[in-house]
Amino acid sequence: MKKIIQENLSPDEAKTLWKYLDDACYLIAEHQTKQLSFQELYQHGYKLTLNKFGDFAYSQLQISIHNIVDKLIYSLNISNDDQLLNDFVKAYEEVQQFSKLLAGILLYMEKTYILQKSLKTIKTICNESFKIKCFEKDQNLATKLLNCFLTQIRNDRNSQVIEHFKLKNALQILIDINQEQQIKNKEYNYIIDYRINDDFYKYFLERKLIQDSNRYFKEESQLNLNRMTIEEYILFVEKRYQNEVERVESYIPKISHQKVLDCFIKNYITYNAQYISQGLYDFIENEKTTIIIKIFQLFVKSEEFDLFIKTLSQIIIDDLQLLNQNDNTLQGFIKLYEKIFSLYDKIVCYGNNEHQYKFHKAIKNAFEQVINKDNFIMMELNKYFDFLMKKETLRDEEKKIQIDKGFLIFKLVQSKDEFEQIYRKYLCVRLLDQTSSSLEVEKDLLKKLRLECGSVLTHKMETMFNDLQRSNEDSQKFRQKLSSNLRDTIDLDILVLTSEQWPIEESQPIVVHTELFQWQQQFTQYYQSKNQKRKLTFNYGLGSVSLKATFDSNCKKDFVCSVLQATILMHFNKQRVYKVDQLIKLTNTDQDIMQSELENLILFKILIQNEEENSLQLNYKFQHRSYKIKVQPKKTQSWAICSKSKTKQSEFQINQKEIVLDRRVYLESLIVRVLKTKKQLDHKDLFKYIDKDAKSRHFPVEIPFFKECIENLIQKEYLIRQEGQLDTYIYKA
Amino acid sequence: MRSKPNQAQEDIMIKDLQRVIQLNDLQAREILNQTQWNLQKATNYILDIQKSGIKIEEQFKKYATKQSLVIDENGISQFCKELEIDLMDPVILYISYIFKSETMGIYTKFDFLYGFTILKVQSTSELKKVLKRLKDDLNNNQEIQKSVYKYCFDFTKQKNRKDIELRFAQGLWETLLTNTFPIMKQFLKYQIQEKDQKHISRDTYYMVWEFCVQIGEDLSKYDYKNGAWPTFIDGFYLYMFPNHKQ
Repeated sequence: MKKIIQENLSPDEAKTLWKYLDDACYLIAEHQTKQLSFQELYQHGYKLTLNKFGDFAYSQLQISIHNIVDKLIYSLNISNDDQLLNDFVKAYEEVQQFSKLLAGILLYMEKTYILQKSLKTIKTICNESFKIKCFEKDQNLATKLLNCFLTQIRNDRNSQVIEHFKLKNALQILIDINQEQQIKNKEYNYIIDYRINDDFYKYFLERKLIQDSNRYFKEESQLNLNRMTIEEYILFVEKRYQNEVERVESYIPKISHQKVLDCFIKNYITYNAQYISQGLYDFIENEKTTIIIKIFQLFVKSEEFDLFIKTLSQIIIDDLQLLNQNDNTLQGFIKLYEKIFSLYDKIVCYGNNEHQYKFHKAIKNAFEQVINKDNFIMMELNKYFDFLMKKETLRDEEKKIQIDKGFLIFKLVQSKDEFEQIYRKYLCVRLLDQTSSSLEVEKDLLKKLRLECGSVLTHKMETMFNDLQRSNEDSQKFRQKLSSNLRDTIDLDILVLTSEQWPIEESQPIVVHTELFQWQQQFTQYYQSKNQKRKLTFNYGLGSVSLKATFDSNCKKDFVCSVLQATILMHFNKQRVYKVDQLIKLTNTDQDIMQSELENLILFKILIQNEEENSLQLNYKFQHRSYKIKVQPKKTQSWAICSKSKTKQSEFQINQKEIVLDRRVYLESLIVRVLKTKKQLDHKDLFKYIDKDAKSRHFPVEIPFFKECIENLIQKEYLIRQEGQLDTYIYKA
Repeated sequence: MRSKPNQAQEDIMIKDLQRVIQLNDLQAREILNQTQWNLQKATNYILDIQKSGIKIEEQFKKYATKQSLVIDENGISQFCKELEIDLMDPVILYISYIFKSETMGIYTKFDFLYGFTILKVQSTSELKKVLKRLKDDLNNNQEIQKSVYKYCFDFTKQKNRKDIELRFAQGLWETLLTNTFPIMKQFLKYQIQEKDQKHISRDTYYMVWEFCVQIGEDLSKYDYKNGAWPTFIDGFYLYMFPNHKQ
């Protein structure tokens, strides 16, 4: 029940009232409150405020508070370093308690007078006073306190025991004493709010803390770096980091956490990044995954993550280049690829998306750089696939696994169209010689290629497979069509291939024996009755004949020979002796070809050569222990036909002209397509589109080549430059 | 005023006009444009020129060949002599441009009729008086320079090809551009080394002009990597700065 006491006070009476209050303050500060009656004091305050003596009271109050706080702090000046922390915390607590009690007594004054006039509240005055007297007025005390705090932290780092809790409170005090008051007015209902302001803390302590920490970390890191190996150092740093995290959590105010930890990382890792990353060479070589993970985690926090990535790239490149000089380069590459990516999988979860992306990209770039330096890897890859396809001893599933490994490397090859050209040559050889052990695996790889590169690249090879299938069907149908007695004299198996898709050179038009020619004509007739628009050209070099011969004393033999050899032997049915020149004329060949064909025939003694007259004679007394004899010269086997030169080669060469032509056609059609949809584009954007498309599927586009294509298209009037903005191209309908 | 005719209608009108008198496509198009594609007006205009151009015709016959159909190179050199200009003087190209003549080395009767009428002269001596003005125009007015330059491509080009030979292009560049754009001197030096390129396409030819105007002496402005300059001009840039080829 409040009674409004309307009493008029005289100044003297006010002074007396104030004296009471003043004395009471001092007593409160000294904890001698037994004799005091809070209610009475409250009344005094109430009266003073009500009778408009607020100003007077307030100014006196401030003076008194300052004096009291002075007293309370006095002990700090004389306490020694051990006690300083304790005393500091105690002094502050006393001040807080005092201000609370005082605020209770002068509640009315506070609520009506102070808040209405937006003056500093009692709590604020006490805090400010404390702050000024400890830190601003007396520099000695300030320095003393600062040193005390820093020494505590340093001792803690040196593994000495300190009182965490006390230190935490002390540091928190530095923040608390700077609280700002905010007076909110809601319909004459005043509310006081205290907002945290850490400026003082930052100015006074945080700066010095970071400085000190910096110095400390630097010293420690240098010391340890010099006497430990990199591996030991990393383990040490990791432990120390954990330690620091705990420390920071336990007593450092939250706003400084990240700064201290950053400072730590900077000194231990960032400044020594170069040195540490050199250690990576050893760790990766010996697959010390745990250490690499630790290094990764630390570098992720530091600013030198890029250096980490760069060093890794360099390691990969160096390793690859080393492998390049060995024999099993491709196997080495595959192994390294797997190793690096398994490492990647293990490490990468410790970083965020950006780190993952950078890491992944760096690995890919490193591999791509070495793989695409020249055509060596691409050729090796072809040999690898060829070898796998021909291998009889592996099961299909195992083969697919091995092929997948090679495919990983294939994805990084940039000139995929060059790869395709060579691969097609190998494929042609395999299909014609039938050395491929599993058509299914072949088709599987083809499917993978199509998924990766698009159907333009794999189109020719798919036609090759289709050709084989269709030829099979055609041959069977042809055989059925032959009348039964004709069927017995000869057994034909004809492969019809679409000319552009197979990398087969034109062969010399030999004149075959008339018997064989008849059959050729029959098949041609049959085929053209089914496919009227197509023209057939026979390539004898790739075929083989199984010729049945009967010699003297009923000696029957079966020769597997080339078409030309068969022709030659069949000529001997008519005549006993031939001059070599005659034979050359009959078959429309030349000296070299005849020489190579006759070589085996003479070697096996089927024909006897007469040196002086340069003539040949059939050996009627031919004998051999086996029934079936392979006379076909090795040279006419498929792979020699596919390569241009006649010399023996173990590899294929890239036909550069064909590649450039194909690329030009592809690029021009791509440019026209893009411009058709976009109607107009400027040079840079156009190049970006083209580059993206071509690079991922076919080949890397270079700017001069791109410009040539554009000039070509301008001349053919597919596009024109825009008037006034000459780097923009417009599609011309 | 009739609505503007489309491509096909224009072609028909040009053909019709060519039946009236022998004139080339360029001249026909020019005249029809002037008369808003009114065939009647165009025909009248041509007949007027013919009527009032008797003196011009006589002038023409002086230079023409024996069959008096066209003026060939001899006639032209005589023409130039009387005008007191060198055969290689760029102003003769400007005059050809005004004539809208079709091929270099030949002037038809209508070339003279039309050209002289446009210039408002009746004889070579009168033309000589106007010559100074023409020369000034050519040297000072960039619009005229550009038009003449572009026109010269078709003027030099043979009928069955879409490009011109390098040596002719070089001649044109030397005649028309080296005076105004000093960078061309080095450009010509570059081309002497360039053996591969035998022909210059229309696009490259036009872009050389743009190159002179936009870049000129200050080659630092040239954007080799992102610019849309033809490869021929890129070659020139690399010739000047061989170490920029990365």
